Amino acid sequence: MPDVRLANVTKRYGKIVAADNVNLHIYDKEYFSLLGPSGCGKTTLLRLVAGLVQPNEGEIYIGDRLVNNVPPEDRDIGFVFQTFALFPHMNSWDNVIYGPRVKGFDMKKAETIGHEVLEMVRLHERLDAYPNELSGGMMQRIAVARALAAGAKLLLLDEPLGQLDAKVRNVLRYEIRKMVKDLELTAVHVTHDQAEAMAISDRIAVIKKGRIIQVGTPKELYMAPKSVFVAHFIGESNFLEGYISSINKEGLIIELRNGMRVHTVQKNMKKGERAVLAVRPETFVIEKGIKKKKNSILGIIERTTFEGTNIRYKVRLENDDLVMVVKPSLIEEWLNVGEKVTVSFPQSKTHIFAYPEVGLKEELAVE
Amino acid sequence: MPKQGITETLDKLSSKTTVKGTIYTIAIIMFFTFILLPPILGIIIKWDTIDQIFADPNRTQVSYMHSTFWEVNNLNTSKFDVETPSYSSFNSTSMVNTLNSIYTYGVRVWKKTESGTEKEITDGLCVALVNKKDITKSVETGTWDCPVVPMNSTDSVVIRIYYKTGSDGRWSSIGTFITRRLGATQLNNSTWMIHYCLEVTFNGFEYRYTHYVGDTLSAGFTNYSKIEAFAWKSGATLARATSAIGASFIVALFVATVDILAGLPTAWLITRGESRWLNVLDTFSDIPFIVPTATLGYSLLLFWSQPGGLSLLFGAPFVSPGWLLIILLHFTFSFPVVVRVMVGALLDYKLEYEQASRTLGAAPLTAARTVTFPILKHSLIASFTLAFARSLSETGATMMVAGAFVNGPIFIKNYVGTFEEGPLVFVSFVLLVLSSLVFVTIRLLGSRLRMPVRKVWPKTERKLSSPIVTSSRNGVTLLIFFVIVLIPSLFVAIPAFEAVFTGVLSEALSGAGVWSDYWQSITLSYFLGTVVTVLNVVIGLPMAIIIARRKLGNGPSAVLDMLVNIPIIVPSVALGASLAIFWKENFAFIPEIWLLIFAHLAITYPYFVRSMSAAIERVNIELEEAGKTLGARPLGIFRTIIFPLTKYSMFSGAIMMFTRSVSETGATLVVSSLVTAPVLLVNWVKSGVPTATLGLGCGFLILFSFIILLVLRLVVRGRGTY
Ligand SMILES: Nc1ncnc2c1ncn2[C@@H]1O[C@H](COP(=O)(O)OP(=O)(O)OP(=O)(O)O)[C@@H](O)[C@H]1O
Ligand SMILES: [Mg+2]
Repeated sequence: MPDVRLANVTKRYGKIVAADNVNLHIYDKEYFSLLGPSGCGKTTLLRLVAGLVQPNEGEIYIGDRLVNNVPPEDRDIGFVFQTFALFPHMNSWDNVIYGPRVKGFDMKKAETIGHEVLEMVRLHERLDAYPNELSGGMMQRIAVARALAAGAKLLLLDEPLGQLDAKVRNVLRYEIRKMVKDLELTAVHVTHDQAEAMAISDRIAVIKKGRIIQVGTPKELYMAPKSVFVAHFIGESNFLEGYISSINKEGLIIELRNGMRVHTVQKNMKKGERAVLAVRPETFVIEKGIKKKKNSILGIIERTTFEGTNIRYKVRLENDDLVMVVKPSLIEEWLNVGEKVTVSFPQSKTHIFAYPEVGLKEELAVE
Repeated sequence: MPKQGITETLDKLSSKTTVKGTIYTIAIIMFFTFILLPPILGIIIKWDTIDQIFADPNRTQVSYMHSTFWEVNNLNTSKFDVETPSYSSFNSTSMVNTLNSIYTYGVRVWKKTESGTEKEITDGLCVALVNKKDITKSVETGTWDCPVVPMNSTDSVVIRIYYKTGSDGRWSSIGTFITRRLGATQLNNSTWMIHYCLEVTFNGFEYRYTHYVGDTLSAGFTNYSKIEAFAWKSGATLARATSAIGASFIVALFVATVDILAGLPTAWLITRGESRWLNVLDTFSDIPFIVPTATLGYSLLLFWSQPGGLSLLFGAPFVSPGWLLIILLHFTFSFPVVVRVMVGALLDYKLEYEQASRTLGAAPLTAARTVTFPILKHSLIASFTLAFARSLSETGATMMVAGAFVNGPIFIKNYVGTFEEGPLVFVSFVLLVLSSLVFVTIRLLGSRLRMPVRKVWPKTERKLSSPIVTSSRNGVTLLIFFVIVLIPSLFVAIPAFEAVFTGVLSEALSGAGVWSDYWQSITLSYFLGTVVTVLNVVIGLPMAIIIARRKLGNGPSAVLDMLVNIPIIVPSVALGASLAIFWKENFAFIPEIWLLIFAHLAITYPYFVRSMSAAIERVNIELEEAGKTLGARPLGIFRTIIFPLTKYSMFSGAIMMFTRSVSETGATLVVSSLVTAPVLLVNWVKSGVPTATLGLGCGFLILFSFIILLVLRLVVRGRGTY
């Protein structure tokens, strides 16, 4: 039953707080991602779970066992390193059955496992190859195979796809997920690539500067970000600054720059409070000409970018704010630079946040 | 900024193939002319004497008395040697005014050991008596049956000439003559013919009796005072040589193995332990490096076997001079080599491999054994070979603790300044060839050698990784370090504290008496160390790159890698002797300080090149390629990629060179008459200065070197190693 619990876990490196009072529960058989910008402490969290670093404070449980004082080899985990860390002095086969070997399985059983996992990663024909003779994708698969062969029920993956090119990455991420699900493992996957996290995870923890900002399913994070940061980091958002000018039954009315008013969803905020309105680029409705409707703002298209699937407009609103609007390129009529447009959005698809104390830019900064 | 401009220009220059080629060529030429060839050519020059080792061991010689002074075995007196005196001279004259008295001459004979003790062979009476009474010059000949006298190869023979007048009958000495160290096992039973070249003159007032060592008796004939049928036996030279070589190899293999066993846990503790004190341990582990070797030998002797050392605790000498003390000594000075190399390797090592192993279920010991050590195999081999070579070639300290034990270097030393250079050449040559073979074998097998990573004993290794075992291992490691390495190395300096409370300290600081020489010698030593370190970094770095990156292709680079070791496998006395032969006989105009620099360059070069090439080899070539693709020029790549990643190894290489140079004794003594600090300290030991003075002398040297080490350490301090 390898669920993982972290209770008030803190890890410091000198003055840097790499994990700041982290509380987290990763359920059994869940595919869980730790997502956050570079240097936020994802690897540190994973290493804490693996026992490769010790927390300064707090408790870590794997299953029902408090593992704070349990060395990595006794935690029954599989760990895939970002650089794979395949043993350079052993060939693929020896790498793969290293786990069973050092755990003292009898050789028959070890070999059976070895063949099974190599079958699973489809690398049977490269048993004799040394790591330096393998491609990145192969190394990655051997690294996963090696972690699986040790028989652990908890798989920890530190940016396992980080070193691979986009196409291979896209294929391998589903393969890994499928293996995890087929073998009924619990997986903790570290990544800074939100698309990757969204695509494969059952749940995601968004991390910033050593703190867990929000935990939820990809859908929850996307639909209901609880902070500016999450709204920014998961998917994409346009942020419009303003203050709450009034509150009614349906929601809040925000006054943006230059006195422009829009309606947003309800939120527990006071009148007059500074606020940030977040609207996803794909939420906008964009129409040629001047249209009068609720939550509509006039603007001029400053730039269009064809992205293949989508077309992206950069629109300067009449209050001088800039927003991004994204539309499926095959469905909608294309608009041109310089065209006057009306941009509107449904009240229900907005997110409203208190203005961050540190300032918007700083709050969104990833470093 | 002009500085920016300079680096840029240099960077650009470095990408020209011609420039690179020139640098590599110069590095290789420097290596051959200054490092590799001189010691080898020195041996080759004396090659024609090598058959002495196989020759009939019985020698019968005519030996001549000279008026020139000669110091052998602590006796500074007249020379007694195979060469004929080159000019007419007399050794002694006496004047009497008794008319017509008969003069009787005779000799007494002693054997003199290396330590200076004399033992008389004649029975306290003069032998080979002759009479002289005529006012003429004549050669009188007496005979004496020399009995069989057992000898040590370092013993020499002392002849004293006496005379007495018939009237008063008291013998007075008129001349003392000493042979070289004979390299003999015994004096043979033989009838010596002792020729006295004598003259009596009368000036009308008194009679003058003169003993000539060589003079023209009459026109066309030259006559000498000499001994004919002076006969001895060298005795089984070959057998003694081979057993000395064998002893060297056994000691070196044993010591290098123990070094790895003890050094690895120490390096591990230093790099992996969490206590701040481990930095101190790291720095302390260099101390045996900075104690001059000869002083180190003396220090160990004091500690292990002399009254005042451990014998205080045990009532008797704890370890007597001999093979055991040699092993302790060699362990002491080669241990830091292993620690230094392995600490560098462990710091450069990518910890993730080991962590991967742990997460796969390996106990710490298993992880270290199956992953870390195999990956660090090259460094392990490098440290083993360095320790091995160091043990094989050390002379200065070894001779202090050897007692009657003879290994290769001591054998060589015993033949320095004897009649026979053959055994010296033979042993140097064999040591060189055999150890080169060992190195080649290690090199060839080393890359093929697979450590047993497939065999795992999970339960046992897990038990051996338990906290109790780990902390007792650390305890034992520390104990060994302090009791066998650190304290014995520093023991000689302990009386320095006594000096602080007496007048010795102020005397030392004011440079009074012996201390003025001391400060001069210490300045010379540090000057030498600095020059040598800088020069070797300059010529050694390109070489390290050539070797590590196989710039000349696999074969030649491997050969170079092997050749680089040669200067450290040649025993330092042999190296010194052959360097002196080579430079002095061919380039007599070169000032002595340069000879000293050349000798030290050769001795220290391998330490740097070895540790640097191993470190560069560990830097993934992909990083270098990445640098290239990012547009970095070769020098830029070195500056921005290789240097930061190998910084620790580079500085530790430099530290090894510097300390090695500052403490080198064996070769320095032979090469030049300049007095470096270690040479001065050896002289102090010999002349028996007060312990407080000696202790303070050693103490200062150790302290200064230690401070320099610390500063370097702080400069390099961790970080950026992965
Ligand atoms: N061994 C260490 N010593 C000192 N600081 C460290 C150490 N390991 C990590 N840190 C610091 O802790 C913080 C978190 O590091 P961590 O490696 O966990 O980040 P990350 O989220 O995995 O980043 P990335 O996406 O770049 O891998 C960083 O500021 C890092 O500099
Ligand atoms: Mg990371």
